[in-house]
Amino acid sequence: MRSETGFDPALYDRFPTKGERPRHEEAQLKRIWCAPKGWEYLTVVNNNYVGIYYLATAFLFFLLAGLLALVMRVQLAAPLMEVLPQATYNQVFTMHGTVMMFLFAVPMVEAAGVLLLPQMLAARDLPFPRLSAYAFWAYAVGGLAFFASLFVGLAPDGGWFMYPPLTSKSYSPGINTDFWLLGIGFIEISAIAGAIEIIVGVLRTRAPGMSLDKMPIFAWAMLVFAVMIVIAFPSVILATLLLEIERAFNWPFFDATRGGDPLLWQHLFWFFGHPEVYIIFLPAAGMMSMIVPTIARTELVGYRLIVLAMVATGFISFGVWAHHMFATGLPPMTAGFFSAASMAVSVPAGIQVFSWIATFAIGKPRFNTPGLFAMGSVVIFVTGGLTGVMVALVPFDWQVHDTYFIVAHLHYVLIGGMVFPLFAAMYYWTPMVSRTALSERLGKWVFGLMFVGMNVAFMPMHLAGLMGMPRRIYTYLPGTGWDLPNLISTIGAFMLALGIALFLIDMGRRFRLAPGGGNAGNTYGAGTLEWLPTELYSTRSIPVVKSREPLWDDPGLSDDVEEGRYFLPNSATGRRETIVTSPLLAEPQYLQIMPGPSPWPFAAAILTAGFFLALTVQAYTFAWVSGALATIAVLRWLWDTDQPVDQGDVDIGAGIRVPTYVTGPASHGWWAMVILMIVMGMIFAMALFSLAFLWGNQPGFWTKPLPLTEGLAIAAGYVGVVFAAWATRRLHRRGNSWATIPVILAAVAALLLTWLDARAWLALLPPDTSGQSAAVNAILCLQAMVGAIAVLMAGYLGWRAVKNLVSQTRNNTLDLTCLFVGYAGAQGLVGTLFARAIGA
Amino acid sequence: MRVEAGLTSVLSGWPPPVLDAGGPFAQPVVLLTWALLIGGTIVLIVVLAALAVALWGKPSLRRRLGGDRAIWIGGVAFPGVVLTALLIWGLRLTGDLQATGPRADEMRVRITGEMWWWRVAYLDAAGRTVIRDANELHIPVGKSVLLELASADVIHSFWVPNLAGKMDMIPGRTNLLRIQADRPGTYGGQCAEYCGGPHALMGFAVVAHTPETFARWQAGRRAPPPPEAQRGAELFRTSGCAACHTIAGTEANGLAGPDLSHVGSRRTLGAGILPNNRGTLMGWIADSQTLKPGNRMPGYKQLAPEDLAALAAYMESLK
Amino acid sequence: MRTWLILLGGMLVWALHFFGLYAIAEIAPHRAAVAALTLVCLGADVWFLRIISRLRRDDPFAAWRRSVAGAGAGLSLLAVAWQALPALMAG
Repeated sequence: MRSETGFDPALYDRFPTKGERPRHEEAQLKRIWCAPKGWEYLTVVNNNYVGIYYLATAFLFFLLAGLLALVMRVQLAAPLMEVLPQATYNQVFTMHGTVMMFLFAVPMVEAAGVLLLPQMLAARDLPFPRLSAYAFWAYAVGGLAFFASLFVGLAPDGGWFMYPPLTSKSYSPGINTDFWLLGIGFIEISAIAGAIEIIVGVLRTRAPGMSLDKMPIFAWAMLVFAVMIVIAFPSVILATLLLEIERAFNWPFFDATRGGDPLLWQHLFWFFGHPEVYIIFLPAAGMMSMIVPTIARTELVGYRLIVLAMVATGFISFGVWAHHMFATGLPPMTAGFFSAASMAVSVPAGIQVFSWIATFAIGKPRFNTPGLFAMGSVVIFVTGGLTGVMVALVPFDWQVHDTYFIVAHLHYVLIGGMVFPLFAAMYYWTPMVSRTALSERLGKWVFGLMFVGMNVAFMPMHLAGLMGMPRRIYTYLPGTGWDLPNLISTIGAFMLALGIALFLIDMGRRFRLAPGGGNAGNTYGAGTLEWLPTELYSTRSIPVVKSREPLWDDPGLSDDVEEGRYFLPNSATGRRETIVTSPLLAEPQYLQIMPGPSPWPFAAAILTAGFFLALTVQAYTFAWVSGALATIAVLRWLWDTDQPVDQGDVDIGAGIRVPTYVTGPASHGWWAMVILMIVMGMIFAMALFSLAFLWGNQPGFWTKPLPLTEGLAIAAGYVGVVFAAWATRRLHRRGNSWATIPVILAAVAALLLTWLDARAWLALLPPDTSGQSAAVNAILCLQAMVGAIAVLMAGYLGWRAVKNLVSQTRNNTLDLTCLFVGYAGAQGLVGTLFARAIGA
Repeated sequence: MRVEAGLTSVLSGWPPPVLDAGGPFAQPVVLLTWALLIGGTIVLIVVLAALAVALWGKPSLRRRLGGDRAIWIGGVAFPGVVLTALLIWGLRLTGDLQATGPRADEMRVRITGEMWWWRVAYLDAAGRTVIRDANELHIPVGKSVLLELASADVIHSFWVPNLAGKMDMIPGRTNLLRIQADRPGTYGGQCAEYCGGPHALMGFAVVAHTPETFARWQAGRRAPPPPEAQRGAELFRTSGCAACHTIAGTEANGLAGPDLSHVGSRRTLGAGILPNNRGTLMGWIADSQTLKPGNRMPGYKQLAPEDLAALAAYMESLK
Repeated sequence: MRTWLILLGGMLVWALHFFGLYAIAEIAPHRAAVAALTLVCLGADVWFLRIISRLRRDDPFAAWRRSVAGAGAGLSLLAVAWQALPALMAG
């Protein structure tokens, strides 16, 4: 085995160590990772708590959105029912879709990642615990406020994909739509925060020796999932931003009468919206691939192919967005290859399904509750996949698009692909976090009711669609013949609900949270690391991983880990810490000092939510105060995260020493910053695409842009910004005490350059003139926002320099500021030239 | 109460219109649909059989299923072959069905989606409007008709499943759709893209005529309607109806609502949701908000019953 | 970085091909351009497969990496050809 980092793999042979570890070590770990008391439940950042909060909240939204579905099913049980008035129904179906997609599905799988990943990877926690806490609180507060809009009749009513012009100010003058745009835009930020956490966690905090080929398949799924979020969500963030700007300031991005284009929204939305389906499906498929081998008591067949299938799904899912737009009159060539890609994406799904079948075939499958849910999931998901292939055919889609056939298809895919695996997972992993497992007897009833109910509810909808029933109708007239299929669907929906109610009863009776140890343990006899005995600090020591199912291959592993015979049996520095390993082979690189509980992430989340909610209800003063306070809270929480400790390097077990502070590309902070830059870059790229798209589709409204030559001076300025950021790092490393000054000046210069550029554009094209002017000004706004963040970071760095906290020759705060300022310069350079080049 | 008002759909669900083609632009899709439904069911049965073998099968069979080879065959090779065949079929058909510019001597109609009804304009060869109407389309059997689909406000989608797939009506664009009916009769349709408010109650009817009846219908449209019901016509003028509605040959030239020049000859009222007769006309004028909540027409409950009857009689006379 | 390129190479070629086709279809739909781009991408996949076949497999991780990359490049070869089919038929 060659090494990735210069670490000698032979050192692994020192484990398990011999002899007893001193008693006080375990007591010290317990003290450092102690459980919260009283108010501390709000400031806790440990994944065992945040993960459970997160899961519980997401599941609450599942139940709420499910109740909405039941009310809708009653309304549709017969023609011309008057259970829900038209306006209420339109809000209810919009909220059902929105809540299920944005407040249940994505947060739920993200929450599962937060809870499970550290245990599966045998890390003490995720690398940015405060970020997890922030992401959770922002989501919980924002989500609940968003849902509450339904009770005051202000819930959005434009459908979960919010097509303009229906959602524009002219046709939706109320603030209902703003609740959606600001609420969902805000919750997406929380999803991205979680994704950054998961990517860095999976790649950098795995147990030593857990090379990529030995990674649990769920970790692979979460890695692909998080990368997909980073690529896809910026698109919807930009779209919501543009529509909100159009509504608030009358910039006509989507107004066809003034050179905008409603189809731009559809492209931006579905570039996010279709990957979103796989974003939801992949983690659930990852859970399936963990559960099926355990249930079948054998190793997973085709691990390599499943990894490949997941990666391929990640790629291909970005090439299918336009299949939601076949009926908009796409050019024939475009429609053709989107149709092809939409069919192709079924191949990776087929690979996974056949891998599970193959695993059942070579194993000795058990028919316990997780097993039944896994098998049921295969049946339902395959059905939905087959109708998916059907609608990928353009002529068939022209008929069934926007009918109940699609409603049936998407519920088969999402319930089979996500909800059933999730229920399997809840039964499967409950013993890991609860003192008792859930009831097997009741579980079979839950499965039976849900499986039959699901099919009774959704199978007739295929027929209703072929009978001509469109989606999103609050009622239908006598004489259509849709009565019978709808009545059957309603009965099925209540069976499904009954199954879920039984599940809740079971949870209430048997689920007893045991975060600090004392859980029911490895009831199903699984082979992966999350089933090691754990406390709040995860495992006592961090094992060396030699295979994919270490617990099956080394029966003594649990005892050795529990006795502290592996890495980090104590706290080496007396603080919270975990081992950071290399991304490919997971060789130990350094010891990360982890931040502990803090009220600031909680405060920042409440204040950010306050900012967005105040914007929605147009309380602008309150919004700005809240936003400023949120920024201060974030800076305050960051203040004590970049702390070098006294010990330069420490013993992490068996005499192996690693440093406690690392800078540059090897550090976890650098990785997070690079991912954040990719997010910003994607938002920006989507804005550039919007400008080019409007040019291609509304050339009649185009004004000749500013001359390219005039932009060259500004472009040169941006190149200077990038250079100054680069030079700062070098100067600082040479020990120059004034080295922070160039980057601070560069950040200010970047903002000034944007102002110069904007002044020239505003003289030519005020933003509300045309689609072009709106898009150009949006690009400038994004640039100004990045510049403002760069100035804020530079100010923070300057303040730390004044406080003598930038003393080392290498310093993470300085590194990250330089990276971001450099990014701001590069983005400015591209934007300046691009806006002048399009339509020149 | 509303059922008693006579609300009934112009779109009939049985036999399922997607599977019951009325012309050559829907017929090939019926074949494709049956192939997909039957083929999909067979594949589902095969996969379920594989799952059943994996769970309960004989050890020798299970061993064959349990390996990378099964995954390659079941997950890659089999779908690869089936999908390629389907893709080629689908692409061919897409090309055949996609409407391009008007053919020689083809009837052209511009249909504009409005919140929540349809504006219909029959065009001549030069693209000028010759007949204005709303919410229903009259075509001769056996001839293809080119529809130019546009929108006046938000996105709608035009769908008459017996005759063709749906096509969106998008502000700022004109999409083309070709339809043809091979047997006389009425074909129901409904808006398929959510357009807010009473989207659920935005129906449409295509009436296909034999050549003789079509010629008669056309001739009837060209002649200005005789103002038989004088009192109704007077009421129409004085009650403010003309602010939103046009009646050809009179002062009424409002554009916000449907053109009423030929309302008496229409099959339905309220965009495909009510049969058209004296009673429903009176009910609609008095209180359309109960029948179709959220639509843009205010109620005229203040009118006395005899005034309503007179207005309705006038509407009926407009053929 | 090198390992990621090896693991994702096939998929990256597919992505390049797909978005190239999208650009061609939106800007200037030409059958010849589609064919040229497809040939280049198929060539890239074949070249990439040759590189993969020479990769070392002397430890479990290297062997795993090689087999995933090989399967990925093979799938990419199929997917690129598949993706070009509709564009060629419609062009």
